[in-house]
Parts: sequence; C-alpha cells; structure tokens
Amino acid sequence: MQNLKDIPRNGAKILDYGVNSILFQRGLYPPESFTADENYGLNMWMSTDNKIKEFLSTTLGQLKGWLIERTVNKVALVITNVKTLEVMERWDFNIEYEGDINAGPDQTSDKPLKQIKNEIRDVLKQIASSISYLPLLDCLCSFDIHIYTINDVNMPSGWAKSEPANVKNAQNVKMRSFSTSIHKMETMVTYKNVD
Amino acid sequence: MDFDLSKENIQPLRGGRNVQQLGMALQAQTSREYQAELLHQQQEFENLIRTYEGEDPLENYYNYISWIEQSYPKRGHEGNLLPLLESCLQLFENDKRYTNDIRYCKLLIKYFDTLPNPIESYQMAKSKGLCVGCTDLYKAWAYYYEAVGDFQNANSIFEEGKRNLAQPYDELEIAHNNMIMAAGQHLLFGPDENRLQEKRHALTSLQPRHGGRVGMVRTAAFLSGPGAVTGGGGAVSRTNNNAACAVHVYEGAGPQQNEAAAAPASVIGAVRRQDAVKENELKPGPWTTVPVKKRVVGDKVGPAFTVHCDIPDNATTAGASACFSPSSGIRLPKNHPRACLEHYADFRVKISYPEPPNPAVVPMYPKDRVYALEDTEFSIEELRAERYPRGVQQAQQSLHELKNEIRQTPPKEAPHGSVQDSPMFYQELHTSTVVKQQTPLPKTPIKKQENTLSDLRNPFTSWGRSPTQSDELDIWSSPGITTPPKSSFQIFEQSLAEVQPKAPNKGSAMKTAFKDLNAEELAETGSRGGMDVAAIAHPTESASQQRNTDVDSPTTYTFNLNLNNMAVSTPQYKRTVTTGGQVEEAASGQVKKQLFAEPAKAGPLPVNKTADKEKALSTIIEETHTTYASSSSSSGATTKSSLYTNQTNKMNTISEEHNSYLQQNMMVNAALRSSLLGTIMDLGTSPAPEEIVPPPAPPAMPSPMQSSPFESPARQLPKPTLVSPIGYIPSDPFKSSLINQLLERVSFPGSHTDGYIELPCINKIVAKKEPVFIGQERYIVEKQLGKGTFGVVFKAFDLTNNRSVAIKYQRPANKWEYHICRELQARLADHPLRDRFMDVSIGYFSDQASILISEFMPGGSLLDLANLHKQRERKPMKECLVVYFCIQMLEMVQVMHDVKIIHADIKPDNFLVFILPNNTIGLQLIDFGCGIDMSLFPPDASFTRQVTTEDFVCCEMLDGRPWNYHTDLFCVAATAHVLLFDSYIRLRKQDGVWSIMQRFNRWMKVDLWNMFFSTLLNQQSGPADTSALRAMLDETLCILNKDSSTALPNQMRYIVNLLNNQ
Repeated sequence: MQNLKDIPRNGAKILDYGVNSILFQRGLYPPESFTADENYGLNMWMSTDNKIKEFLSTTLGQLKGWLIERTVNKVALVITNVKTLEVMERWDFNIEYEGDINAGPDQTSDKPLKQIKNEIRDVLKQIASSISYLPLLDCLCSFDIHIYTINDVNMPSGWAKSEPANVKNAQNVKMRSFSTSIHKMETMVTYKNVD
Repeated sequence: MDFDLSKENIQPLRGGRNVQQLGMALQAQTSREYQAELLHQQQEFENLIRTYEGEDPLENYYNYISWIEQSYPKRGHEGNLLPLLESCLQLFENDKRYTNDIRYCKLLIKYFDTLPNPIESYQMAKSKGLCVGCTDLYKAWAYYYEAVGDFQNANSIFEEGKRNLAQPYDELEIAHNNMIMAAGQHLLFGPDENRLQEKRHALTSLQPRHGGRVGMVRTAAFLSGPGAVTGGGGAVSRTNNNAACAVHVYEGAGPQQNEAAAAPASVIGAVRRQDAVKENELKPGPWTTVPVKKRVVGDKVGPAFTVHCDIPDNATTAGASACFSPSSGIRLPKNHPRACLEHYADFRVKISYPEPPNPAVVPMYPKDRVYALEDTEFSIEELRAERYPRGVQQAQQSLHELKNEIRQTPPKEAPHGSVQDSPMFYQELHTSTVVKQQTPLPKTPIKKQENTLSDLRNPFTSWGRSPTQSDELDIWSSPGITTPPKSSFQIFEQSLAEVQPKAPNKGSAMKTAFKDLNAEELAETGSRGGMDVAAIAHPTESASQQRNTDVDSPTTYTFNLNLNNMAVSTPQYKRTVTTGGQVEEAASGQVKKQLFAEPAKAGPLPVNKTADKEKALSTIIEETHTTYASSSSSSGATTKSSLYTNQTNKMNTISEEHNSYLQQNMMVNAALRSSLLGTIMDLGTSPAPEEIVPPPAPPAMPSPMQSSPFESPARQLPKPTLVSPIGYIPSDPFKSSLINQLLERVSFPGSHTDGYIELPCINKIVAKKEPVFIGQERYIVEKQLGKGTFGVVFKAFDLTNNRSVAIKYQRPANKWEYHICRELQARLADHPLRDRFMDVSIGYFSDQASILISEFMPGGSLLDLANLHKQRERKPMKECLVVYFCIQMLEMVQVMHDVKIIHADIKPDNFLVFILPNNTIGLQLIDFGCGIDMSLFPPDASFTRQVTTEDFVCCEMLDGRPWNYHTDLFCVAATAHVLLFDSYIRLRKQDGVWSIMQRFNRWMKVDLWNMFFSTLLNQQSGPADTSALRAMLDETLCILNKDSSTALPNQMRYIVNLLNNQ
C-alpha cells in the first residue's frame, strides 16, 4: 500500500530517470558526465553536471506539485539542433489520472509495488533500446522540457509559454505504458526520419 | 511495438529507421505472410529497375537500396545489400550525370563504410573525381581521421572540400567548425584515447564492424568535455565557441595526407579486388617486432621477391631440381625409377559407365547413342549427320516415335529418338519440309489426315473439317506460293536449290515452318492419330494470320526467322524454349507462341488444358486494341480461330489492368491534379455569390430509385458553404494551385469541422492484424483494396464504432476530396438520394498525408460486378440490367449536377453496388478526388483543359471545345458501354457527329441505344437534357419487363444472389 504522496514523487522520479537516460542514450552530453545509479534493477545513468541537475530538480520539483493537483497531462522532452533550432526529436510522457478524482492527497494505491516497479523498468528498458532505430544526432543538440497543463494553472516565475514542438517528417513509436492505478504514464518518441 | 526484445537484431542507421518498415521486417522474421509481402515488394523494386527507361535510372536503385536497408534491419546476407550496392555503384561510376549527385555520394559512403579500409577508398574516389562536389563525402571521410584523433588530416580534408566548393557549402562549414571544436577540446582536456576511440567507433560503426561489436555510447566527439552544456530553460551557451583559438592545434606534426598516385580505372573495382579474398577473418597479430608497413592502394610497388623466369638454355644437368633455387632443390631418392617399366599402350579408360535403367530418370539427350562406343563420345551433330543421308524414311520414323512418346503420359526410358530427341525435332521438321516440297502432294491424303486429326481432344478439331480451312492448307502445300526463308535452310542448300524459285514473301513467312511440318506429316502418315501440338496449332494460327498479314507482318516475320534459326542451329533443348518465350513477348497478342512454347516445356501436355488455363487468366475480355477484330471475313474456320485468339490475346496485361482499377483511377486523379498545363487566366466579371438551393426532393421517385439502407451518419449536416465564386474562369479546374486557392477561399474545412481531424503526423498504413491508432480511433486494417501512386485504399474495421470502413490513405494530403464529399452531403441534406454519394465520416490530415474514412461496401464496384457476371455467365449483362443501371446513373448525375458539382471521373469502378432492402441493387458514387465545385466559379463557367488519359475522355475534350457538365454525362455513356459490351468505348466521328464504333447485337434495343449514345456523345449545344432519355429508358424497361426472359426482376434476383454468395 502506498499513498499518493509517494506516487507523484515516483512519477517525478521516474521522469527524472527517464530524462537522464534519454540524455545519456542520445549522446547529448558526454558519457563521462554521467554516473551509474542502481534502481529498479537497472543501471540508471544520472548526469553529474551541476547545471543539468539544477535545471531538472527545479523543473521536476514544480511538476511534482502539479501532479498532485492533477493539472498536468503531458510532459515533453524536446531535443533541438542548437544551430538551426530545428526540433530533432520529441519524447512525450502522457499522464492520465486514474482512480477517484476527488479522493484528495491521501488516496492509496493497492497495486503491488513490485508490479509497478516492473512496469517502470520495462519502459526504461525500451528507452534504452530505442537507439537501435533512432537516427544519429550528429549535430550540437540541446534539450528543453515542456509541460502541458490544463488551462487554469498559475505560471510560476521562470516559466514561459511555448509553441508546441512539432517534428517535421515525423515517425513515432509508442512504448509501453505503466500505471500505478493512480497515474498512468505513456511514453512516446517522435523523431525525424531522413530520406 | 516491442523493439526492445529484438534490438540486437537492428543495426542503427545514420538517418534513423522507419517504424512501419521496421515493424514489418521484424514480424517477417516469424510470420510467413509478412515475409511474402516483403518478397513481393522486393520484386516490385527489381521490376522497376529492370523495366526503367527514363532519364534517371539511379533513382530506382537509390530507393531500392534505402528500402533494403530499412527492411532488413540485421544487414545480413538475406538483404543482399552489398552486392547490390557494388553493382549499382559500378554501373553508374562513369556516368557523368551522377559524378556529383548527392544520392550517388550517399550510396558511395554507405559502401565505403562497410569496407575494412575506408580511408583508402575515399582517397581513390577523390582522385577519380567521384563526388568531389558533395559535402557528405568530406564529412564522412573526415570522420575516419577524427576517429583516430588525427585532426590534422581531418582538417586538410575539410580544406580540400572547401577548395572544391562542395555543396551544400554551409553544411561543410558547420561540420568543419565542429571538428575544430572537437580538436580544441581534445587539446584542452587531454587526449583520452580509449574514450575517443570508442565514441568514434560508435559513430562510424553504424555499419557492422568485423569484430561485431557495436559501441554502446553514441556521442559525437565534439560534444565531449564539460562546459559543452546547453540546457533548455536555464540555457547555458557554449563558451568556447571560437574557432580561432582552436586552430593552433594543427601545428603539431602528423603524417601528411597521402594522395593516391593515380586514380584507378574503376574505384569500385579496385576496392572490391582488394576486398576479395578474406577467408580468414582473424586479424593478423604481430609476428615479429618489425612493424608491418601499411600498403597504400594505387601505389605500384614491385614485389619483394624476384619473379622466376624460364632460362632458355638446357639445364638438364641439374635434373629435376633445375628450376628451383640451387640451395634447396628437390632431392630425389637414390632408388628413384627413371622410367616406367610397365606397358600401358592398350590401356583404355571408359568414358561412360551406363547407369542401371531407372524409370524415374529421363536423360535429356540420346545418351545411349552418344556413348555408343566405350571410348568415344559422339556429338549431337555427328549423330545427326549420320542419320541425315538415310533420308526421309528415317526422319519420319523418328518423328513418329517422338509423337508417340509425347502422348505417353508417364515418361519412360525410351528407345533412341524419343522425347530426349527433342533437340532434333526441328531438325527433322525441316528435313521433311524439303521432302514435301520436292514431291507436291495429292489432295486426298490431306483430307484423310484432317479427319484423323479431329479425333484429338483439342479445341481446334473443328477447323479440320471446314472446307475453307482445307483449301487454305492445300494452297500452302503447293511449293509455288510459300517458300521457306533462305536463312533457315542453309544446311540443306543443295536439296533446296531447285525448289527455291523466289525470295520468300513476308506474309507467308510465318507459315512456312509450321505449315510445312504439317503438310509433311500428312505426307508421311495418312492414318496416324497422334499429332504434335504445335503442328496442330499452326494451321489455325495461320488461318487468321493470313487475313491480318498487313497488320502485323513485321512481328510475324521476325518470329519466324527466330524460329527457323533455332531449329537449324541449336541442338539444345533449353534454347528452343527460351527463344519461344522471347518471341512471345516480341509479338504480343498472338496466340501461337504460347501454344508453341507450352508443349515444348511440358512435353505431353494436352492442348485443352493449355487453352483452359489461358482462359482462366482473365475475367473480362477487352478487345479494344486487338487487330483481329473478329476477322470480318468469311468462313467458319476462321471465325473460330480468331475467337480463340481473342481469348488468349493480351491475357496477362488485361487481367492485370482489371485487377488494379483503383490504381488506374488514382493515377488518373493524380495526373489530373498535378497537371502542369498552364492556366490562362481569363479575367471575368465577378458576379454576386449565388445561393445554392438544394433541389427539393422529387415527389415521386422512379420505381428503381430508392434511398439506401444505410443509416445516415449521426453528425449534423451543416449548411452548405456559401462562398462568392472566384472572379475568373480557369482553363484547368484540376490545377493544384487553383485547388489550393479554392480551399483557402472556402476557408477549409469551413463548416465541415465535425470529423475533420488534424494530426501532427500520419504514419503509413499497412495491413496487419493488430489494431492501429489513427488519431484517437482504433482500426484494424484488414486488407488492401487498391493502390496507386499517391494513395492506397484499405478495408478496415473501426473498433471504436464497430463497423467496417474503407480507408483511403493519400500522400500528399488531399483536402479537396474531403471538401467536395462533405459539401455534396450538405447540399443534398434532405434529398433521398444523398446516400448515393460517398460520405467521408472522418478525415485525418497532416501536412504530408491524409486519411479519409468512409463506409465499406462489401459488394465491390460496378466493374467487379460486370466481371463477376461475365465470369459466371460468359456473356455481358442482360440488357434490362444495363438499362436499369443507366437510369440509376443518370438520376444520380442529374442530382449531383443540380447542386453544381461535377464528379469528372465517372467510370464503372467508381460506382459501388449494394443491395437495397427490397432486394434491388443500388449504386453509390465514390472518389471525388477530381470533383469540381461549380458554385466556386462564375455561372456557366466552362473549361478547356484536356485530359490525356485514354478512355473516358469526353468528346468535348477531343474536339477541343470548352466543357463543364458534359464530361460526367459522357462518362455515364462510356460506363454503359462497358456494361453493355464488356469493352471500353471507342469513338468515331462522322460529319461532325460522334458515335460508337461497336456494332449493336441484333437483339438489342438498337433505337434506344442509338438515341442514348448519340445524345450523350453529342452535347455540342450544352449539356444534354437527360429527362427525355430517362423517360425512354423507363419505357424500354417496361417493355422488357413484359417478357419474362428479359424481365428485370428475374435478372435482379440473379445478380443479388451473385453478390450475396460472393
């Protein structure tokens, strides 16, 4: 049994892992700036770069609050070419809320923790294996995180509205989803297919 | 898709992989169905390459190679990628068009990447001048230097590229700067060789390494080092983005880039040669401490050892060891015998050991005669020569035996001159030819022979009895009229000399070979029942042939020559077959080669079987292009033969054509839409917007017309769009720029937003068993119904609404069809016939593709129905049905025109049939891809654009007159023509009046049809008024209903059953 407090933290934590392993797998930053961190039975590569850590912790900290309020419906990791500002890839994490909407922060989930962990592990595995079909990013790239919320959310300082990042000539691959019976997260990658 | 389970089987590609193709390829590893689909696609590509005749042959290769890369993700041997790459590159290596072609460059890089020493290959390509204008070449080349940390050489390669002004230049510059950056970091943070190596491996080993290890990390080297962070949100900019400071790196000493001394004649050839021997994959380790010098290709270094040359003077003193180096020669043993002591003078080695007779094995040549003597092997020619002087008697006999042999179904070991003798078969024919000509035959034996012939079970028996036929035969067998072409008789020159009075005339050339054979047979055996298939087929053939001599004599002539050559000069069994096949292609639309080739291949194959098989090839017989034209002339025999000809004629192509109606259809659409014919912008006055009043529902519909049983969609039908027409009349209503302009004008999707869904991307659709998402809806795509260049139609099951739907996938997106369909539905909101026009329930659009969802009709199209009927009944539809369909079609077209919409692509395959609740048949008009919305043009607008596709081009276009509604009415007539006669309409213009070329059958209502076609074909004074026509059709239907054999209800019941049982 877990209560809701754990789950969103989990959700944010999972996103943290997910984003880090994407950054590592897609080679956005040099591999020596990552360290291995054992979790869910997998070696997770977490960035040791302070700037990335800081950026992620503020972003995901904010996200955590929104997850409890159930105002977020999608988190997108957008990879853009630094020179041309073209969107190269987009990783979408669609979030759906399950269970009782009005249950408040004390809602509990009766799904076994082990099963949830297994599902999460599978998704992370899929992210790791995505390099076999994704294109090589042979240019300087940076990333950004877009959070899609419902309309009436107060924007905290340091955040700005942005245009949706659409990939040209897109291919997309849906990955497995996992559910904690309170949140359901679905991962999808959209990438540019050359020729 | 679960790629994570098979990621080891997927080689990464530089450009990423196409998800659909990847999914399919992975499924193909286990599923036979997908494997077959892959093979099919592969064959299509190969066909395309084989048959391509246009300007840009590389295009097909490029597409094919890309497809292989995507579809065989393991890059193993099954894709056969490397040999293909090699052959393609070699093919175009010296083609000036492709020297700096970016696609060629990409292929070249792909190939070099697989080689063990790519750098050398690049150097060769460079000195040959291949792709020196392409940025990609330098980028890929420099990678290899960068990978080993040799930035100096990498830099010089980029410099070289800049000198050559490689295109696109800015990309080259960016790549160069990136490399400089990496070099800078390399210097600043110290070379960590291992790390760099691994990363670069990952980069370059997109292609498999021989070690088989794929780098785990795929990071570009220039990104290495801290400070390279560029984060989103709190973005950090790159600090040392300064090329100038990095330049110093190159001051260090390094090996100069080696220029290949001279370009080899063929880069690919040289590279491949180098690569040819690799039995041992083990990398050579150090044997000694002496460093192995790396050999540079193209460097002409002499071998390290001296090449042995024969010394002319006699070195006998040194004995056997003379030719070896004196120091370590061969030492012979003391007791080595100097000479052989035994006597082998009469030792004979058998060259053949006869196998025990085996009924399952049939030697394909006269083995027993070739190896008649123990130590001698006779050639086929020798055997022939031996037989030749023995003359006619012998030849006839062997021929006779051959025939008997053919008729025996189980192949058996036969005495000489049996099936195995078939290479000699033709030889003998000619022999006998000579005989026949030397001794003209009396008429009687011919007759006799013909009678026996008729006993045979084959479709041609009838000709033999016909007096005309035998007359013709008779004519041929007199030597004066037909003489064999000279070329075929070289061997028999002597015997022929006196019987060859004049050069062969081309018309008869065809006949000689076969006819002679025939006549000869007559001569030899009056009473024999069996006859060779080819021999039988021929008289028939030539019967019709003679009548068409002027039409296709050239083809015939070549055919004949081939045949004769073959007969004389090639003893090989195989060759005769292939020649026959080629000839078949060459002279298309002629039966005889088929017949000829068939027995040659299959041996004892009964004729009727062949014929049946050919009939089965096609369901509809389309005679538009036939030259035989039911052979206008005479005699029962001839008619029969030409009948047969009709049936086999062009079978393959026809059946294909009809299998791909949708493809044709789409291609026509596409051709129309993308036509580049200039628009002459006639500026006219811009009239006020014209309100379109939906026509009131007719109070009493004619009996057959009824609303379809399908429930109208739940969505609310919006009001029809009211937009002021554009101010001018374009000449070409299909032009894509105009369509775009009109779409803007109606502010697409306008009021039809319900069911209009815009998606960021639409994935390609393939038929498979698992459900796919399109937008929010789930579909199971069941099968492909049709395919064209720009789109595919699938049958699918809509899991959201639990119904079968048709999915039309088009790329690029086709918004216009959606607009027309919806607009038509809106304008006909209250009309009972609204369901007779295709509705699009949902349209998905992205910037590249579109998907239209519409109702699936299990009945198929009107053309399918016509074919089905034809297949079952062996004749076209009953007249009453055609009348009924005409009424339906005219009604529908009228309704559509009343709301100012032109379909412009009416044809039998665009009408779907369905069964109404009262067990009659309804039609639904589909495919509005080239529809024209006349309300967007000024009143009475007409167009002058001419459609250049074959059938279904209205007379106005043929005359060059302006047209608008005419085309639909004309196409209704053309459709009726197809239903009535099972052939496409052919037009004739006499005294300014158009009519059809097809003759009416005598039982048809000639008056009605004359009226019908003349009205719809001649609309010089504006679009025809169909009401009178409909009245007349109704009246005819009433008359036909009076007789039970022609009554509509009976026929209708039959058709409904046909559809239900399908």
